[in-house]
Amino acid sequence: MRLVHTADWQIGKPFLRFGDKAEALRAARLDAIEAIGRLAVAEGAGHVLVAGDVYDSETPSNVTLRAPIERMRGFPGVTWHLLPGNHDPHRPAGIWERFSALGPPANILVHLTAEPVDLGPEAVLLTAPLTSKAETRDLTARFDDTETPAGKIRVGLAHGAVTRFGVKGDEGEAGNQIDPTRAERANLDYLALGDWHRTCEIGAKTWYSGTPEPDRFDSQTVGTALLVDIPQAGAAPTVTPRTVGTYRWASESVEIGEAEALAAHEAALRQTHDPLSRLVLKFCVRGALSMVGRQALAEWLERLEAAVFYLAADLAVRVRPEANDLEAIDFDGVLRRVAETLKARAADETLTLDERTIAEDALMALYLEATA
Amino acid sequence: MIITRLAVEGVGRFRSRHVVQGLGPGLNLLCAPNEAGKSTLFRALQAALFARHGSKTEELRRLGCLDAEVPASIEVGFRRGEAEYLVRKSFLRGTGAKLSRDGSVVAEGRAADEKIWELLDLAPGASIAEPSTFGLLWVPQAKSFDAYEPSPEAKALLGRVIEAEVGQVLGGERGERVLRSVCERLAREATATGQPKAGGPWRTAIERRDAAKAELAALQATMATLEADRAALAGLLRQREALSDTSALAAMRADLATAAAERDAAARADHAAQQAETEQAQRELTAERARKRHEELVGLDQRIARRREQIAALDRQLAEQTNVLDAQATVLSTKEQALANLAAKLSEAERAADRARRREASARDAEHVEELSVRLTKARRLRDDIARVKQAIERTTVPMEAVKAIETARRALEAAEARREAKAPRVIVRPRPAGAGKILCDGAPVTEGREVAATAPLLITVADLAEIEIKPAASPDDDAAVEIARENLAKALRTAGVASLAEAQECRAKAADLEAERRGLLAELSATAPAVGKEDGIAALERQLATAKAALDALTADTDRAPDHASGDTPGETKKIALPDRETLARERIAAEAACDLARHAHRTAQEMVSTAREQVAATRFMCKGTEAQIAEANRALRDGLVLCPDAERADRLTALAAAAGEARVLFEAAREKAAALRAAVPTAEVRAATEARVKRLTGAIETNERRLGEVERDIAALQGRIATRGGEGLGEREAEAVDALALAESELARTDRRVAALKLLKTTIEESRQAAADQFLAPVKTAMRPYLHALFPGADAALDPRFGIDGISRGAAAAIEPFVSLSDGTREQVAIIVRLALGRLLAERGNPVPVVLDDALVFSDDDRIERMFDVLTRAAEKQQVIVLTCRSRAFLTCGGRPLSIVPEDLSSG
Repeated sequence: MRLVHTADWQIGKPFLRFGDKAEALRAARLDAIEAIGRLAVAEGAGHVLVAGDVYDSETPSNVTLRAPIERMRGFPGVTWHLLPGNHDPHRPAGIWERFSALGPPANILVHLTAEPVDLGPEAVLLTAPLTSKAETRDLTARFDDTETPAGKIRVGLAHGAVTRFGVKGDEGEAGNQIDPTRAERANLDYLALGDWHRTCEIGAKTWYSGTPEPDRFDSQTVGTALLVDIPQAGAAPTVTPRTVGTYRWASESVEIGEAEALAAHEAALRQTHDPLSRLVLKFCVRGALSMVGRQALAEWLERLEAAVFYLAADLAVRVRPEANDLEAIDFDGVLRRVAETLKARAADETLTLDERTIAEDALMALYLEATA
Repeated sequence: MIITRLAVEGVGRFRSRHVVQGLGPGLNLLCAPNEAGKSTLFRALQAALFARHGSKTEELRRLGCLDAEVPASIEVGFRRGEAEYLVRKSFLRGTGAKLSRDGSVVAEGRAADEKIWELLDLAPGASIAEPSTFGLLWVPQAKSFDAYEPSPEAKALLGRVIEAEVGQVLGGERGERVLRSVCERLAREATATGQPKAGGPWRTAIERRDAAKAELAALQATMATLEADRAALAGLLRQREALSDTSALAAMRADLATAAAERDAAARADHAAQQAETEQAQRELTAERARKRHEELVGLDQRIARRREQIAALDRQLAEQTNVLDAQATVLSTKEQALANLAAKLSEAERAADRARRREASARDAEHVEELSVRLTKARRLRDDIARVKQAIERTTVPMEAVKAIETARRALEAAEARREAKAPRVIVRPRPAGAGKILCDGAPVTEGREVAATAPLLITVADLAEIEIKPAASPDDDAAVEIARENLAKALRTAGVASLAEAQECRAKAADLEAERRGLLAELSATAPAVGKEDGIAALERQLATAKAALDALTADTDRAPDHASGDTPGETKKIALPDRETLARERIAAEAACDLARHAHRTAQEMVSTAREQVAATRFMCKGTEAQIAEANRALRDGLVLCPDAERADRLTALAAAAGEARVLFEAAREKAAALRAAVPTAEVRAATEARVKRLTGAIETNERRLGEVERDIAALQGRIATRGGEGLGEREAEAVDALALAESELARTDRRVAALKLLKTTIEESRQAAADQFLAPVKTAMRPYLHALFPGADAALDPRFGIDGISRGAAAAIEPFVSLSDGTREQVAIIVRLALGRLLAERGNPVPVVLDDALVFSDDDRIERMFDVLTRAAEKQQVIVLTCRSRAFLTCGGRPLSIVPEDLSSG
């Protein structure tokens, strides 16, 4: 038995914070569906299990609602099993009734009840569709008592946070708790989970597939789907993560003391995230620089922004004017005194951090004006 | 620099060579009257030092003498450092320039111009050098009280001098540029008050954030509505499930069937009881009717007996009333006869009184007729007089036009005769004493000298001695003119009907007298017979007389027809009646009216008595008729009773009706017992009401359940439709976009806020630093100025700006600054000169002495101030040369200093 496990497509996510790159990021999420389809076809997997959150919202526009259908329609040999998640729970007159009303092709199955479904002659699929955004019960508990024909592979499909993650705080997005030992309790051969946007093995038979196209920093670097092989009922599955995403999402953080160190950082970035043109980068810079160095950093970031797909610069760089910085403003006179005043203000510990930052900005503006 | 010599030739009013004598260090004072050429010298000094010798500016053209053939030559000597310099320049014609140092020529021509500028540290120009500090310290006429504005070069020089001492403090051009750039950048973001500027990036970022927030709030509100719809839908689905529970519905229906059966049985028992009660009621009615018929017959028998007794009593009463009526009728007849007699007497008395009144009225009317007749006679006479006078006027009067025509014709005749006479020979006869009475002129003796115009042949007879005939020359035109004029006069007289003009005028006077008489007569007529409306007065009088006569005649006729005046005369014929006097007639009338009143009183008393008697008769007659009516009614009732039941049948019928009533009563009692038994078998009202209520409740519950189910189904359909519609709008997707847009806008606004804050801080810091620098920079100027300023205004301080402009002064440490423009003219002039002196002193103390030249300054200073200004000038002259040009010789007597004079050079050399 071979299948593809994926989740958290969240089609319709706007990405407006990324400005003019938003459309490309939206398109990449749809492209990922086709990549999954191609993977299933290439690997001979007849079923793709989508473990919830197919859509980002339970009230998407009609075009957004149709978009993944049209992508899946292109792979008639593959059966797509869609499960409502906390972003798109099944509620009366809700998204899945709209979905069904669109008349999706026969190879797309939406599991809105907990009824077992045959995955061909050798396996049965047990589902736990969410009917609200925050379910207080563990809906997978009913798997324990669900009878299936003897000898058939039992595969579970659910969306939620494994209990231990929920305790820690925010790793799972919401409630919808799932017992991490559910596979063993319900005698499942494989439990396909969704919700967490990072590929993660909870147990030998319990996996989060992660998202096929990342949508945030500090989570998953590249979009992934899992290729799952289950030899027979009771046998351990073989799970292989496969890349299906377009963009790499990375967060880098550096502590900097002089502008010359930027060259080394650039080299490291090019080596790690080649090609840079597909890199969505959050670049955090900490430390302190002279005004010359601060100017050089600004120019370097400008160049980096041009190189990567998208750059979110997070700067916490203090300006530390040096003697030659101040002389560049003026040797004497009003401008020099202004520079000295602003420098003293930026270093005044009795002021708030915001006030000192404003003083640094003013000093930097003076430097740029005076040296222009 | 100290100016030591100034000589001019061909300049202004100085055609010949003149020199300013006495120039030297310290205070120099040139007092000279107006038109002496002081300002010309001032301009010549400027031209020699600052202008190229070859330039032909308008200023230089004005410098030359009018119509002069010689060039404008200027010679200036000055000392700078240890060297003595002499500048000679010629302008306009025969131009040239030469600079000598310590007696040796160091430059000529253009080189001399530029060498001078170099010596004086001036920036070169095409035709004239920028005067730099000279422009500041050399004050032309009428400019001394203006707020001075140093040129950029002067400011730069002052700045260099001061910064050499206090260091570079203002930041120079670079500082200006940075501040300007920062201000410009800030101006794009914020208003002058620091608020976000409309259309600027800051305001745009705020508006974008607000718009995103509003959009998100709107979407969230819609989402909340959608969520509420979802919750409502879930509730309705649960309700539908509960309402569709079939087992509960079946139990309700069974209970309803049981309750309905109980209700129907009770209804049937009640119906049987009601039928028995109906029969009971019918039996009761039958028995009651039988009883009533028996009772009615008994009552009829009793009424017949009472009627017979009543008729007998009424017959007796009627007989008594008839007797009384007869007696009353007799009394009434007697009283009516007495009343008739009194009525005849009253009629007679009334006629007598009426006659007396008529006689009195006839007498009054006769008097009125008499008076009217007199007035009418007089009026008719006046009318005849008026007609007569009018005819006389018509006969006498001559129209005014005719008189004027006569006068015109006469004047024309006189004019024609005068013309002819003027042309006629003049014959002068002067008789001598011996000729007295012997000389005749046209037959008339001439006793004295006489002059005659001989318009016609004139015969002069001198006694027997001679006849002299004088024939005038023929003048046909004049004669014809006289003849025509004469004919015209005759024609005018004929037309007027008079013989002469005097007669015509006399006629007009007479006519005027007649007219006056006529107006008098008319007035008298109007008084005698005044017109009534449009009616002529006499006609009105005639009408009034006729009316009065007619009234008198009528009265007389009536009086004549009266019985006591009856006569044999024909009716209608007016007859003169001899009436007593008016008083007698009045007494007769009063006596007759008194007799009439007595008769009327007696008649009224008799009438009342007759009326009383008639009322008594009528009352008695009415009572009789009432008794008769009662008897008739009693008889009619008796007859009716006997018709119903004659006396012969009454006893048998009474017996039969009593038996029928007893039988009906027995049947009623049986029916009543049966009805009571059936009513006892019917359930009580409480039991039946409870059963009915249960049926009603169960029926309502089942109906409500069905209706509610229908409503829930409709609500579910509506909500599903609404939710589906909302879902199709992509609300969730739009909300996520709005969240992103808001975050983006807030991030952009935060960056803008930070940028604006940094710019504001930078601008504020630069401005504060510049102000501090300016205070430091201006300190030397203020120090130099303070002694001068305090000489005039003790304790005062001047407010300067970094460009050496003066903002105002404060007259004490805590006093407010008075703006320069609001100071008086005198104070402004003094302060402006002091600032210039201070700047000159500043330069002098720092090795760059520049002379101060004041042309006709201190014109607005009073005596006290001008004395103190002399002290200031004297003090300033200790450090630099000060040259004062003035026409106020008396005012500057106490100024002191070095006196200057303008003298021809031959005298100076002499």
